[in-house]
Amino acid sequence: MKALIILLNKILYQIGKLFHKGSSMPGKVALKIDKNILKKISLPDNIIMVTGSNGKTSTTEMICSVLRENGKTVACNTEGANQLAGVTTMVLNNTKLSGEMKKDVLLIEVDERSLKIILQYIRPKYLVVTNLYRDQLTRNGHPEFIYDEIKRPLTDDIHLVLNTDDPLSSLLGYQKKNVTYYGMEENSLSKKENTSVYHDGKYCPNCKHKMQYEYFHFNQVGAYKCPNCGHERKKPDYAVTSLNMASGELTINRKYTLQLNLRSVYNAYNTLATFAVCRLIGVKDDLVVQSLSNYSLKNDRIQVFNVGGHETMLLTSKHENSISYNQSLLYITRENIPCTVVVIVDAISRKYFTSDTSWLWDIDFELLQSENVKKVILAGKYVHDLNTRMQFAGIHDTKIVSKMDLDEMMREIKEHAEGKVFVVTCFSDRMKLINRIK
Amino acid sequence: MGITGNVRILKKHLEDQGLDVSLEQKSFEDEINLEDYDFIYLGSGTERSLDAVLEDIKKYKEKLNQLIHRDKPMLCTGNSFEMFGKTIDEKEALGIFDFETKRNKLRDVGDVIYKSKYLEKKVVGFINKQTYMYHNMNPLFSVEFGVGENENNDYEGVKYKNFFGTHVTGPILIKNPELLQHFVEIICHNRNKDFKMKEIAYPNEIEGYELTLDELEKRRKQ
Repeated sequence: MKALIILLNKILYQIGKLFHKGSSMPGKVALKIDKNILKKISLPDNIIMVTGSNGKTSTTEMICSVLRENGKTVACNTEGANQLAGVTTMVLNNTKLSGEMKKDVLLIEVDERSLKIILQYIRPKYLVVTNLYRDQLTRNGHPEFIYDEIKRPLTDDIHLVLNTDDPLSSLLGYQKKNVTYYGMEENSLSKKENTSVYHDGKYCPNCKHKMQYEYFHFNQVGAYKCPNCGHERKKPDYAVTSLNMASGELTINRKYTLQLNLRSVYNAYNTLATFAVCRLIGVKDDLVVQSLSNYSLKNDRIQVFNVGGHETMLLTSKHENSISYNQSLLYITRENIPCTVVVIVDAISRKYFTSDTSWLWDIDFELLQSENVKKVILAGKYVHDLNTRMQFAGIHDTKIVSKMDLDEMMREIKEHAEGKVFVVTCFSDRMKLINRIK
Repeated sequence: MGITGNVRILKKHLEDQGLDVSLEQKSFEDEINLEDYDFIYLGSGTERSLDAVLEDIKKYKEKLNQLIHRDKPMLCTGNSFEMFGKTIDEKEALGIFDFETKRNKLRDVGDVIYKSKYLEKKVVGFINKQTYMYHNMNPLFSVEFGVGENENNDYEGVKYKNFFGTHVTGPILIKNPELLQHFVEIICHNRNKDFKMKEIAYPNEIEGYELTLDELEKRRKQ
């Protein structure tokens, strides 16, 4: 029976591929026949799961790439199907009919709401939690709610790999031994105050006492300490000890220097998490550095085009996720070249219905006051909400153009953009741009 | 999410009416002289944060009670107005109003359309809560689309004198220009009975509202 289900999964997967269908359907069918099928597969010892609000797809992709480049065989859901059905498809696809997965490593990106379900069938050796931020509250409620859902099914045998700079996700390691921490030391980009619209680290997530901060990298991410319960930024096992945004040079543990292809703080964190995991799996340090240096992400979140003679860069961000937007805005201001910034909010989600634009008020659009931003083009159905938000961001009216219609937005970019063009939008809207460019 | 928008836009509209407005952000454990303010706003937080704030805010119980009865304009969004009831689960709350809050395992999250007898236009908003509430108070809204106060989904929020409590989260005043205008008038008239309101147009805010209402109405009919 097991062999039949595995075979069926493989056949359905191939058929699905012909029709460009998502990869969750075969797994769904397999689970319908036997909901415990995953428990019956003999899996490798090295199982890594990657979850968190932001960065899990990029981190998973990089870990996979480094491991493969260094001779490991890896089964991985790089297609981003990160819920139970998609994971089932991927696992069965990589399993022999005998029920054995002959790979060195099973690497799974896991949706943070699905973790508790997937943990019922697969127990990882390593669990990476990249961070827990305000993200898609329409389905996630709030970050502490997600924290509880992740924490509940954890057992001490799972080795946690945590971002020590994020006060919420790092709390998963509170008073635990089996933990590896990674983080970024204070650098020239760090600030002494939180300058963001909101501050989710103001109070300790553990005991709700006022937290003390030494510095911030962005939003609530930085060096914190709770004087009451002792929850604090632990000394990282893997640390970015220097980061030069101008040259893209990043140094880990004062020893390993590598070149960032995409010069963003986000990419620095994902690269660091990858370094930590690959070292835990046993890849030699200099080989990890070699593989990660100049790594260019294949998941096409960053794309470059030419629009009417303007060099144009798409920075895919996530609607309903202010930190993701902030990272794109920070990137634009730090590039510090004359530019036009286009923000498109047309459909808020492609997965569920919502018309909620509250999250616009959590984004630090004030960053667009930056001298190098010459023009701001707002576009899409929610252009009025964007416009209202901009009025409060201290951006001069003369700098802003609003176009609800996306064809008109294209014309505006082609004919009136100044300097390089940065487009900030979400997965749900970016094809509307890409299709109009091609 | 997005709650700072409420006070930012209110400040702007009051200034447009010619008032000199200062905005102070207070957090729990801060010393607050509630008498000093023309308007008090409480935003939403996580359940654990609410528990912590509730213990802290109890020292203001008498003062809050007096102010509410003396028509102080107050707006509480999200879970914050749960604190003004008798209990949250077994925990004793401020007890200023006669309602009880029960916490659930599952969250109610999603868009809503409400109607209020105090406003001509419908109210649009976003709910993100994990509680049911039961009371016989004057409700602020009746539910047209989405969830309400409890499993009956008929009413939402409370209104008593100038106290407005609703589970709608986020920038409710930005999303609903008429509700914002209502508060602007209450605050202006509370300071000066004969205050002459200026007519000011806010086209972006109105069009943003109409678009969202339109989207939600379409969704409701599906």
